[in-house]
Amino acid sequence: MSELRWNPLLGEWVATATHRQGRTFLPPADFCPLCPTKPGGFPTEVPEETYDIVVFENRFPSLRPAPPPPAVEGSGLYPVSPGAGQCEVIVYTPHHTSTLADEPVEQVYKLVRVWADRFAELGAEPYADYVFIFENKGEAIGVTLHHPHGQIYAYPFTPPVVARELEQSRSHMERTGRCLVCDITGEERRDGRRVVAENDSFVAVIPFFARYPYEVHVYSVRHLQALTDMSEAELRDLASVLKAMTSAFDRLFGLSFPYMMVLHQRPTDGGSYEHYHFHVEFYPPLRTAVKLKYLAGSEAGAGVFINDTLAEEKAAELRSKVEPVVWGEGGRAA
Amino acid sequence: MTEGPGQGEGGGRMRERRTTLEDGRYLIYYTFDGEDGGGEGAASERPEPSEEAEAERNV
Ligand SMILES: [Zn+2]
Ligand SMILES: [Zn+2]
Ligand SMILES: [Zn+2]
Repeated sequence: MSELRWNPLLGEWVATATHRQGRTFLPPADFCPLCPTKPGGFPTEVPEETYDIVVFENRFPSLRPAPPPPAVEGSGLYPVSPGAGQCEVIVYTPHHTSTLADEPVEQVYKLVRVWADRFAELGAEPYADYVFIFENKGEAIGVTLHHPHGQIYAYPFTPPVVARELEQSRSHMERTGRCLVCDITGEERRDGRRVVAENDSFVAVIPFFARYPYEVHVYSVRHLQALTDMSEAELRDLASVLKAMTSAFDRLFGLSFPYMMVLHQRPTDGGSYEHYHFHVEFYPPLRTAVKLKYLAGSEAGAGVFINDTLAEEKAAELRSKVEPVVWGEGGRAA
Repeated sequence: MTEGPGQGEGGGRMRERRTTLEDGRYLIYYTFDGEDGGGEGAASERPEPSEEAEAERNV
């Protein structure tokens, strides 16, 4: 049903998830499984009539704490491993038509605190070498469930993208004695052209090396490795900058902007990762209001992204859409 | 429940209520006591930034 298969060509795991999709009771067409369950209504994933933020185990997980043995036998060339881990869904708000950008910054702050709690709790599990927090948003990237939500995967290994960043960070530290992301942040602030938003604790940039036209990275000003290293003020500032960026995205083309948002934190395998540096990355698939950037031959088959825009120009464009985040306004944005 | 540094003050206390769904999966309700996660008080606790810094810090 779910297992890890080793790809010896790339040296990385592939998770298989082949679940039976059949259901005994078909929900109504406008049914949202993430909405609160209405009294007398069709039961959703969340039994109560209302909630603030809710986390639950994914109904069809590709990783689980006590996984079944792999469906196939491995070999020396092709190792297989049980899909040990966890897959959680995190529902941001009970409001079906909202988005992270439309929620008050106080709600984003709550979300950030729940993220920190999940990172700590899942990270302490023996099977969890890495806790990956992310959001896929918008039909453009294949999301059919519009209710605002994200996901958390606890992997039994450090995923390759993070492993590569860790390796780059380690070699930069060995070569220069400095943190790579601290240096990137310093360079971006000195130059300034690609800085999109900034507060006391975070800097949001379209980095020099952006692969997507509106790829935004949010770096913590302080050298730290995880949400659980942050002060309350830093968690608030993270909420502010995420609210600012998602809102600016929506103002770009006057539409609810699709994106993938990922948090890059230290692994939770007990190792020492002082050389790493917390950040958030956004990969929006839109090039214009109507044009998508596809992962085509060069990107998918060679790992070389072709970005046909200048980060400096896109950053100026996005920066002009940033508005101050106001705390204490109460209520939700219209 | 895990409390990060200083989360007790100002932001409202975060509580979690753990339940088990019919099929055995867990579901956790997170609630926040007191003020609504932030508020003007918290924002004005910060030192006033200089005008120059203000220009850079747009959020
Ligand atoms: Zn819904
Ligand atoms: Zn650093
Ligand atoms: Zn990263």
